[in-house]
Amino acid sequence: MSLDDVLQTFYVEAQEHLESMENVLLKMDEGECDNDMLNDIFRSAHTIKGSAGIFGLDHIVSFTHVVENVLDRARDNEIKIEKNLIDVMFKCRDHMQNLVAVTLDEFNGQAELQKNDGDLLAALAPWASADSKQTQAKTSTVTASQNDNKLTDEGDNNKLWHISLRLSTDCLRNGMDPLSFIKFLSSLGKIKHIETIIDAFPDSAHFDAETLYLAYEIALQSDASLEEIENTFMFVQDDSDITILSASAKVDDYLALIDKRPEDNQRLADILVNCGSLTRDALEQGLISQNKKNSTPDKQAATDKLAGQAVEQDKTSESTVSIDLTKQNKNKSSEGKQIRIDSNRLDHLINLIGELVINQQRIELLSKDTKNPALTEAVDDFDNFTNQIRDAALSLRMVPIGATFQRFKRLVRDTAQALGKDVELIIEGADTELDRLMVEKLGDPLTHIVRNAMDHGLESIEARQAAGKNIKGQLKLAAYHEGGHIIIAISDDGNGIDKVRVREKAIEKGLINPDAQLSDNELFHLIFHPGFSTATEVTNLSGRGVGMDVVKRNVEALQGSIDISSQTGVGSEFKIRLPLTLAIIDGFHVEASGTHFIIPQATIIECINLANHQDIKGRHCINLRGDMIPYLKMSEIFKLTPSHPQTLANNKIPSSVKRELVIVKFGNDVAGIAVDRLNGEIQTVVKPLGPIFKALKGIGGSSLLGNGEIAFILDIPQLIELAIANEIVNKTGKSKNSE
Amino acid sequence: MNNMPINRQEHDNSEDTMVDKTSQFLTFTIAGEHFGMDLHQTREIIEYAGITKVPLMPKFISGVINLRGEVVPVIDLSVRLGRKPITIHKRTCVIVIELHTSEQYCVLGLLADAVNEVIDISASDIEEAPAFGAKIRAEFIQGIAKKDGEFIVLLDAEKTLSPRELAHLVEAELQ
Repeated sequence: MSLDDVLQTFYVEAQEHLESMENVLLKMDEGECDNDMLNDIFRSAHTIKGSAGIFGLDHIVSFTHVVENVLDRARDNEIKIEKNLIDVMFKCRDHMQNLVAVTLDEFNGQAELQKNDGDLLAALAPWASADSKQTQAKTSTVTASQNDNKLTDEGDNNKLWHISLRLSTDCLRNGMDPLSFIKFLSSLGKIKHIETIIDAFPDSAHFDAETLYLAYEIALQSDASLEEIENTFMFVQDDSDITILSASAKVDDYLALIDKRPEDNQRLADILVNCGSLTRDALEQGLISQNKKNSTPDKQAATDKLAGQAVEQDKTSESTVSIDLTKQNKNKSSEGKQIRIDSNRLDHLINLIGELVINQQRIELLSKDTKNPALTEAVDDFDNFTNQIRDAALSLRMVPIGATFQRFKRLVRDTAQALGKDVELIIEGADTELDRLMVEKLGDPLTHIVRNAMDHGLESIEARQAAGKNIKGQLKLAAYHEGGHIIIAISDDGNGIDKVRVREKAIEKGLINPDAQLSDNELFHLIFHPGFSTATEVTNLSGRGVGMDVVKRNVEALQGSIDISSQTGVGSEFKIRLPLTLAIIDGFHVEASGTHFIIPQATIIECINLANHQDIKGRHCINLRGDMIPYLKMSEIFKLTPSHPQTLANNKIPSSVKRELVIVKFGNDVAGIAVDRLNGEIQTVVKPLGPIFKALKGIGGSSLLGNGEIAFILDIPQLIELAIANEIVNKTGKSKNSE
Repeated sequence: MNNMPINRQEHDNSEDTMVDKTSQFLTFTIAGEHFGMDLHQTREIIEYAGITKVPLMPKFISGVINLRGEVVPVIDLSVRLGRKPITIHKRTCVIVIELHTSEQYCVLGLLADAVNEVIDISASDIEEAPAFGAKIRAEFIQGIAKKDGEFIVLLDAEKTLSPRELAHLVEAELQ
């Protein structure tokens, strides 16, 4: 682990803690407040401070210390959580985020950050009056009294700990200074005694300045928990040998420690005695009993209070407080039920499973040929499990959109405050799952749309009152599935888009002719033009005309599209339509002119036999129970010619005779797709076709069939668009000759 | 399946400074012409076992194949170099190449009549492409090497098969 890796861990963790702080603050802002929340937020601040201290990021430590202190007082009910405090805390959290992002040197170089630092500390001052309370408590000396064979404290919580530190020899190379750990320990309590062991020092010829030869035995007096002390060494625990014993641990534990260390036993024992962790008597007693190999339970130990733990008679296992730190860490991460995985590893796994599924399908085909019932049955079972594995693996990539939506709470709150508006954010469909990559790329577009809606869409409190609306404006973020797509809808109940104003502005900018006839949708799409803004004045939130073009570009990069609907005085809605890439899709396998296609199941209404229906007046339209349904022929739209001689032989019907019609729905429209053959339902993995085929409309991706053949997945909205475009070209006679 | 490391440094040197280093090239034949491609960029050679045509594509895209679960586009290099489409026969093979450009990582298949051998060519034996006469766009050619009295056209795969340019060509075809 290099320093960069460790720092990276710090950043990631700090980010998580900052996020959790924000969530707690948002809840508090809504009026909730209980001890758990206060504990949560305190712990977050405390952990950030602690970790920053280890890296010597003093700017973070000093600021966070004050924040932590205020939170601690709130936790102790010394101060009340009030609106003002929450506001300041929000700012402090943001400031901490800025602090985490810069190094100490950068901080010292940035006057603005320092000024912020000072301002916020001043703002916190009213709540932080008893600033030194905590540190005082920690550093207050307690006379440790001797109790039998060990030093324990009486009448105070302060406990004695013995820390035996054998840091990895690479410690310095990894950018860790042992001194900073010791410094940090002294912030947890008082270091009573420290012995530096230099036995490992080589002669000058073999000395390497970057290798750590020092070992430490430390006696620490602190009311910190074992976990807190362990956390000090979080970043070095991997290859270091660290033993932490409470003063109430038994002599045998100390003896075990002495044995474990390479140094001379007698000398180490002397050191322990010097540290005050062991008394000479106890040591000798222990040694005697060890020599005798006497296994009778240590009566002394039985009487010890072991930090509330029941003392086991067994000497070696439970009663020992020395704990393998790595093990601890594992337990900790499982507590959160989350593990972090490199996304490349995940992709690799999914690719492998993709291959497994295809192999499985091949085996299934082969086993059917053998007509061996036992084999077929076994393969069926295999099939069942492979599908489950595939589903599970694919679901790893999917994340609920909720976390992204949640982040907007803060944005909406701050923006509303800045604009003097009263806005309520409603979140729907937070558990709708999207591909992880998409979620990441949606943040920016959503931010722009939300800001725009708040700035331009929702009216001021007065205007809403005048219009007879609820003074609290509503902004809704919703996610749901529709026809094989995922829809993210952002809607508000504001004033709607001013069509007249958009038109004027577009004419002014020369985007459209003054006499152009535009549909509402076309008109609204003008706002995606770079530099387009109807705002009469530029605010610091929006109106500069950058933003909406970014929205469109980002969404299109995700192969999605945006629809806008708006009604003056009632509100607007932005609908982002996204494909389900890399999700498994439930599809319907069809064939046309020997080419395999998959129609997303979600778009299909029904399948009918075309032979039973007559075209209406020679057009590609049929009458289906009174409705006129236009249809397109796959072989025509994709200019397919039967390529496999095999298919020609099997399929005696000339390709011009269409047989089956799949009725699909897209948005509010219904259309038919004429194909040669229906092959039934199929569940497949979407394989993107790659950048070369980006311009190919109507095909959203590819998929592998059981026999290894490739099928194309149809993108129904695009396909219909393509059909309409072709029709226009044909009518105007500008049809380009295909080469 | 694993990525093959590509020694870009060596490649660059041979192009720019003509340091006398040898590079390995995979040579293959299309319609009697010999071509070579930097071995680092080739991943494997497979037998031609049918291809799935992609609708509406220009002729230089033969289609896609299923390469152990990966859908890989196959290019008819012959068309791309301005010649007649390749004739498929029993020994036709697909050379699978990997392109790591600054923009993206891309796997492509190339149709060839036959794959010959892997040869070492020292940088000093590579001559610059003639400005004309090769009947191939000069920028596609990395250089010309001579082996056993035959000329081998060393192709610059990144230029010849740039995914970005191929995508533009597809777009133009579809309009």
